[in-house]
Amino acid sequence: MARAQSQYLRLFDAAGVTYQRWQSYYPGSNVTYDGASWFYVPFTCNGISAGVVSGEANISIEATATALVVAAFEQAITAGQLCTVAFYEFDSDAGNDAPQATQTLLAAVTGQVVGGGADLTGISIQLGSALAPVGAQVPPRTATTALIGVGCKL
Amino acid sequence: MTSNSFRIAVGVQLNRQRYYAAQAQIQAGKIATPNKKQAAVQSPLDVPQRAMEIGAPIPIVFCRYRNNAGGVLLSPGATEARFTNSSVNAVTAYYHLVLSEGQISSIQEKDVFQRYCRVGSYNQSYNRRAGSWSPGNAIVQRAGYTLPECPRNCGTVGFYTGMSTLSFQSPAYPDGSDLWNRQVHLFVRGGINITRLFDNTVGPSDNFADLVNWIWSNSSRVPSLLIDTSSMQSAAVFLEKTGLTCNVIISQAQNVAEMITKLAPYFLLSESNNNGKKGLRPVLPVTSLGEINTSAITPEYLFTENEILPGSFAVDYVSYTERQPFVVQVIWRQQLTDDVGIVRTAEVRYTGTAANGPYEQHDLSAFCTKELHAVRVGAYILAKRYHSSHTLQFRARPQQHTKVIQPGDIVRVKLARQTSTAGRLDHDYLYQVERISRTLAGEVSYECSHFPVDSQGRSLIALDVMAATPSGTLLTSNRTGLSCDVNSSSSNTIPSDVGQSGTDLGVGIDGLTPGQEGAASGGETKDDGLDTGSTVTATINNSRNAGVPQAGAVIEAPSACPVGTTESMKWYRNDAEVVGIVGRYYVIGTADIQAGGSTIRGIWYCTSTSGGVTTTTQTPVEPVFVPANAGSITDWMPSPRVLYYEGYYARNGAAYISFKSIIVPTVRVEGYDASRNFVAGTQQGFANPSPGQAWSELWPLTDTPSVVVTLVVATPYYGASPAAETIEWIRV
Repeated sequence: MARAQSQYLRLFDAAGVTYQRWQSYYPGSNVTYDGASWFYVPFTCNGISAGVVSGEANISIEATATALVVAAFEQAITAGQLCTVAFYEFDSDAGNDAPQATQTLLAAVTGQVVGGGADLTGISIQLGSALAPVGAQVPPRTATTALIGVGCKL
Repeated sequence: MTSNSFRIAVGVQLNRQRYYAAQAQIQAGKIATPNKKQAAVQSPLDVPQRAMEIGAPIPIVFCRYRNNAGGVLLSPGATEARFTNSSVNAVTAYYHLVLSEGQISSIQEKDVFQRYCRVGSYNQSYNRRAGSWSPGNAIVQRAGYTLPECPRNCGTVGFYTGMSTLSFQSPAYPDGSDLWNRQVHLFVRGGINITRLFDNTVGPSDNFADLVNWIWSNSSRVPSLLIDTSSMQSAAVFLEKTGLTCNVIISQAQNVAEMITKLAPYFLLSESNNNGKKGLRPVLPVTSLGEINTSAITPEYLFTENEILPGSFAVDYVSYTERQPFVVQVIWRQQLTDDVGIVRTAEVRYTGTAANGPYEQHDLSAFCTKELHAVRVGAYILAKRYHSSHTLQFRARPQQHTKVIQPGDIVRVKLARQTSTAGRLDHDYLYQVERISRTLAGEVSYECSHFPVDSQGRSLIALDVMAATPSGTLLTSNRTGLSCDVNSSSSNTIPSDVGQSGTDLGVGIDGLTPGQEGAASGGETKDDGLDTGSTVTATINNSRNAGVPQAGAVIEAPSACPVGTTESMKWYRNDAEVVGIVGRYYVIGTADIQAGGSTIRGIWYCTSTSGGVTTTTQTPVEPVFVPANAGSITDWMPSPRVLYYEGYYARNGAAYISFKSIIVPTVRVEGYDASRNFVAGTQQGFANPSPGQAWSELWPLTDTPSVVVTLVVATPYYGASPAAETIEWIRV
């Protein structure tokens, strides 16, 4: 037996509409898994973390800056789309051409596309939480003229 | 909670079978010396009615009164007011009050106060303005009476969208009394109505998990897909079972993340990030029913040397100072239904330790209304620091644990320290997994905290927390004197919902429609010429092959210096200066024809002097590349006074001559054979039309390859010495 891991990435919005499905293990081919087609895009996820503390660092996805990837990323960050990256483990001796039905989900991380960077050849996508460390305040609303009128002076 | 509340320190009556000190006596607490203002104010409730300011946060009232605990005393701000006086000058005040964001439960008549008195009448509404009166000062002068000084800026009617409001009408206070201006207080038994995670019911809640869930959804706009609903529900069950409640008014703006991080530990919770989803999880082991687990713990996995990668095992011990005995002093709030809450303290320590401190204070009074809650939090803080001695990090190769272990799980790590002389010592402890990192390489990194258990495998920290029992003593505010209540203290009457729509003041902003970005277009690349000289492009004069840099071709640099400046030129061959050639002409010669080619470039130097300051600017000439196969020539490099030039030519009976002359106006060329006999017909007079020009001339000459021809330059005619100018002959 040989242990292998593959990565799958899905871009979607809060309503569940899927925009992109990528896989990075089977080069040059579209594979079918879980009832969907996954397009080959060479990307890597630097690892995912789960913990009991807040303030986890963003997860980074590195990909080649092809037209498809760049366009998908720009749309995702503009619309605040969500992204799920899943790690699967399987026995590569049993088959290495297509996803196996018996492959095991190791972890799946979901985050919001919150940032990234790019040069002419590569793009880095940051997944995290939209819980802005500075902007998100509670209570969420303040008293405005429209809400309470001009206010009184007592 | 007002700042004038009394503070009474109460020792916690604890279980003597455990390690806690028992303090049976009530200590008389410190009471601040009343200042002049306090002397005049009989109660912290007897303060002037405050106005709500534009820009102030809309408060969130989150509470639930049950089992004789909980609820909050709300002192809302007024946004509108109205004042009238009767014929006998009795003043009636109307206040419109903002209660809370969202819809709160209806307030009963027994819970409405002005000052500390149950007086007046009211109407409560939601999503609109309560009451039907119009704001304004309607005070009139009554004969024989002093005009009451009532405020004149009484506000205007707003929309109050999405918030709970209340209209209060005071009793008619007699002439001379200013009690009409006192603060209205409300005891709220049910705060904002939300869908409770514990029982999936819409209603008020005192569950911190519900509050966090609401905040994430409404304040931070965290997508629901990024909220770990399962962990939130488990946390809600845990809070419900352990009696850790939250009764709070959030009226000061604060950062969401900071607030949750700060408050979660006081509910024995921690934030979790499970594969990107945010949630809450108990810091103590819990049973399947959500209660604190005080029975034996079975670890989820055993890590040994089979999984742990060599060199990755790292223990970090808690420092000595962190583990010293201390007293946890927890401040909580005993909420009364008719007065400000009594701020109380619970002290937790291990028996026989820290009799005189040090004290570590934790203020939970903003939200904690139960002594049980306070002592359990105190016990956890104390026990965690006492029992947990270290943290552990290690990496493991992927195995079954990769699929099984989640943050918060309890695992066992057993490794042996085997030495040659000191025998074997096992590192064998239980740990709680704090963080899991999975890498591309497949290995999994674990960060864990020590999870101490007793000989029966029970969590020591959980046992200590459950052993902390409150004294159960509830105090009264001890407010004495005649009652000023007009309304009944047992009236559960809820007036009808009377309200009205707000007035559009025309202060809103029409929605903006964002434009769509189009493709970029236009623009051009320009050179501002401020870089070290704009370049000029040389002309290659070659009558044999026009424009071709060839042996004998002349590179001519156009003038580049402004009028009024002195120009000079330097030429470089492969960036090495070619000494002696200073003019605009550069004749490609033998030295320029090299293996690999050579690059000829020139630089104009333009010098000007003004006001005693000499300025020199440079203008480069575009380099010319001379390839290695540019031909071969014989260079005749004269000195200024050499008159005779010898060279060899062979080209179908013709000679191509290139030369340049700076100043000499006329040159004459003659041919001589090898015996230096003049060859008839070779006299050529070249009139130099203008100094500095160069020719390439076809000079027909009949000859054989073996003949050496000498060319003579003469000015103005042959035989005469030419002027001492740089003259260069090149013959091909």
